[in-house]
Amino acid sequence: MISDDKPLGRPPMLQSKKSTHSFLSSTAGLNPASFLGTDATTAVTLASSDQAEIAIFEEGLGLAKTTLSRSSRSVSPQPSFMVLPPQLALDPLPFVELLHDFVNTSIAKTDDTYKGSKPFNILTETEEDIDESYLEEKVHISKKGEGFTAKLKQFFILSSAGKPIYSMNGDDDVLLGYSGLITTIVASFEDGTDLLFRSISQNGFRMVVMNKSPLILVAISRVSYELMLDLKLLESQLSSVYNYLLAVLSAPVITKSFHNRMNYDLRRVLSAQDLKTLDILTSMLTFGFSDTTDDENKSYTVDPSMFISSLLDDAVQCARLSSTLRAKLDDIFVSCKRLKVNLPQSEATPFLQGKLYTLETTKLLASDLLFAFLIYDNKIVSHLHPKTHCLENKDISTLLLMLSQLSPAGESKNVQEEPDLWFPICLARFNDSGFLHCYVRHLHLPNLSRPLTLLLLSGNKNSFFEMKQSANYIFAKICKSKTLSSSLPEELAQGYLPLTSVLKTPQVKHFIYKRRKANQYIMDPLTFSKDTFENIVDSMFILYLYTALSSSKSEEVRVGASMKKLTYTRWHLKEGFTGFLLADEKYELYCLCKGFVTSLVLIEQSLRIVNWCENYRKRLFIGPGVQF
Amino acid sequence: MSFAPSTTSVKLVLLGEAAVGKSSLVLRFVSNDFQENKEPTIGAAFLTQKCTVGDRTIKYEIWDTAGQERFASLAPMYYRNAQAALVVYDITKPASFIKARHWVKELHEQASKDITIALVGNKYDLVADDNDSDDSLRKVSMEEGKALAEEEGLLFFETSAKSSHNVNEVFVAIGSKIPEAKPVTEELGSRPGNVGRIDLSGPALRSNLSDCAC
Repeated sequence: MISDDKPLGRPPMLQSKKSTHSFLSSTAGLNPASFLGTDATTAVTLASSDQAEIAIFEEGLGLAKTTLSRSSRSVSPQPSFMVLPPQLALDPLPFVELLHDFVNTSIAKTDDTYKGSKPFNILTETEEDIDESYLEEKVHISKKGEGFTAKLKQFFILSSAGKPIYSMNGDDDVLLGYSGLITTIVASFEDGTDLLFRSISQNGFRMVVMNKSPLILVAISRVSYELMLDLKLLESQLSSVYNYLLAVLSAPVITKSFHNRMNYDLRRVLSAQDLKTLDILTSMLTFGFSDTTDDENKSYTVDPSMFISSLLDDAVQCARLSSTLRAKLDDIFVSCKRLKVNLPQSEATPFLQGKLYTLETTKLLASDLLFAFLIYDNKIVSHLHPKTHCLENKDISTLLLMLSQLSPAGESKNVQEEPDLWFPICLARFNDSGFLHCYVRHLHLPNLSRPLTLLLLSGNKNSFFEMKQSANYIFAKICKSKTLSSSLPEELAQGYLPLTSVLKTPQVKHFIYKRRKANQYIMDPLTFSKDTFENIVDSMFILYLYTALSSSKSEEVRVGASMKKLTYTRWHLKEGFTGFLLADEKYELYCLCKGFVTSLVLIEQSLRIVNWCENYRKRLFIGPGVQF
Repeated sequence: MSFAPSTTSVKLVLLGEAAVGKSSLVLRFVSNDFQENKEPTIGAAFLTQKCTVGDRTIKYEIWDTAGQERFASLAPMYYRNAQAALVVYDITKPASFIKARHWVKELHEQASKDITIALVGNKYDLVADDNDSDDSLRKVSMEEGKALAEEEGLLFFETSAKSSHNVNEVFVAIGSKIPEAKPVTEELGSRPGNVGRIDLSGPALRSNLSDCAC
């Protein structure tokens, strides 16, 4: 089954579309992108596919495929397959065969008794029904003392002296007891040892502590899917919370505040808005939705991407854009960085002293500019950074969180009247003791529901007008370019089309594809149409399935030179779900299918996704961004 | 300066406690619009708006600052070169009036000597229908406001960004107090038309910029 004996020792040529193209171009009705995924796979795998699966076939799979899967263990004589030169044709074979073996063994191991009719609570893995009052009791953030212990998730920020600074739920009366307890546990454990207290885990309960003296951050979870994984998920959530605190205060301010008095109340320097942002952050990180209720309207924002990002090691999402357009935007960033302005005489004089013949009359406008981003709908469109420095994804996520907390864009009717925003932000991984200054402006493009947001990060707090002028330049360049002004809105709007229908993978209901090197991911856009409650439950269900998939035991197999990681899981929930994970050193693919899909279909469609994503990786991922 | 009707640029800064309505006043003045439950400002927002006062056109370059305490240390950056300041309080919140006193004091000590300051009691709409009954929402009387303004030599208005009561009047009054002799300070950031080919020559501009901290 494991093909160590493969003579060439090469990785399977999943990305060899370019070379196969010429052979296929003569074959009517086959596009090169789908070739290796579809036909080659179909051809070899017929035999090994599971007979028992036929019974579970649902509508949508034609009779043809059903009969095909009964054919015998010989290579199907498909003409398109036969015309390939041997090395090209054979390369993917061991891998595909291997996949089938793997899936079929996995299927054999799973218990196929169907339990779909019973209610299943994804939050606790019990049979308790989730309805609105259940969410109210266990999930929604409540600052009341009563009902505090019923909540499935808790976040605390305490001072080392045990003073509560922030809590996801509960009021001060309830909190005081708990924070005393927590600080006592942490202090007595760490007292006299070099060890840091990390966590307590018990059946259905986990407490993770992050000691960032003078602060202690704590996450307590009884959410089933958060307990499936190791400590990393909750630790990543805590560091997101900590990073937000640092972003608004910076490390020296926190340390200084507690320097004189250990019982200092840090809430004095945090605003109501900061606490609200922490509520949004903690709820999004755990349940994939947040309460955005104002005085009059109850409303929730449902978006599982923050959870998924921490599940995928802080991977960030990029906006889909053709590489030509992206290159044009990158060029604008770079040219902005090189833009020279004339120096007025008053400033030119210092340069004159001693060198009368060389007049220094120009300077770089954006000399203080360090990082620049174009953001659309929380996804990165283009990014500029210095050769010597990169922003870590955690910092980028903090920046995006901050951005979402600014006044909602597009509120003024007249675009001219959009304010320029200018605020300090401490990006902890970049430098936790200083502030960068962030310039933000929105550009409203025709036919787009959301604005394109420009972020310019400067190291100099006095550089507002230079940043403003750089922004004028960048926006003018975008608007003046015929290609950009017409294609950019069009392509950004296309980012909302479901990829599974573009790729013609009807069995795959949703997928996430991550490039490991850049630590960026794309996911099929989620369309929520029903009422809010349903959306919240659906979103949590997706979190449950993906977490379960990524925490399931995976098998590692060697294919040529690369190690592939495979996971196949079935859930007997609702109408039944199949999850499939395929990863190697380059990528990770997570896909979810409704019903119990045959190995034949599953492998064909997931390889098609991998091929497509690899082929269009320049369009899907921005990579490290453009340098100056 | 030229004899033609000139455009005077006026740098104006808004200061005051959080949630008194600074951004709402600006939104009313710039866009003639109002939003309930506006998000708090983070850091500061920069806007411009032209306004005709008598035969002059005044171009306001407005710094709308965040009222939250943690941004207070950044305030000098915005008011240091301002020619005008609006110190805003909420007439239903006594604490915001105390904060306004502090801002006035700080401006007199730190800002340029000839700064024009207007004291603005906002949220007049909440008390507009009151007849001085005991359950009135008003917590800062008009007399208190006036007294502070007279004592410190400030302009004084009670406004409502929601109903637009007195909003334009504040800016017109500030405009007419700004001396015409002020040099035309063409701000480099405020020339959106001049993009791509940037020429910042002119001593007035640069001297103005170099000591501008915002």
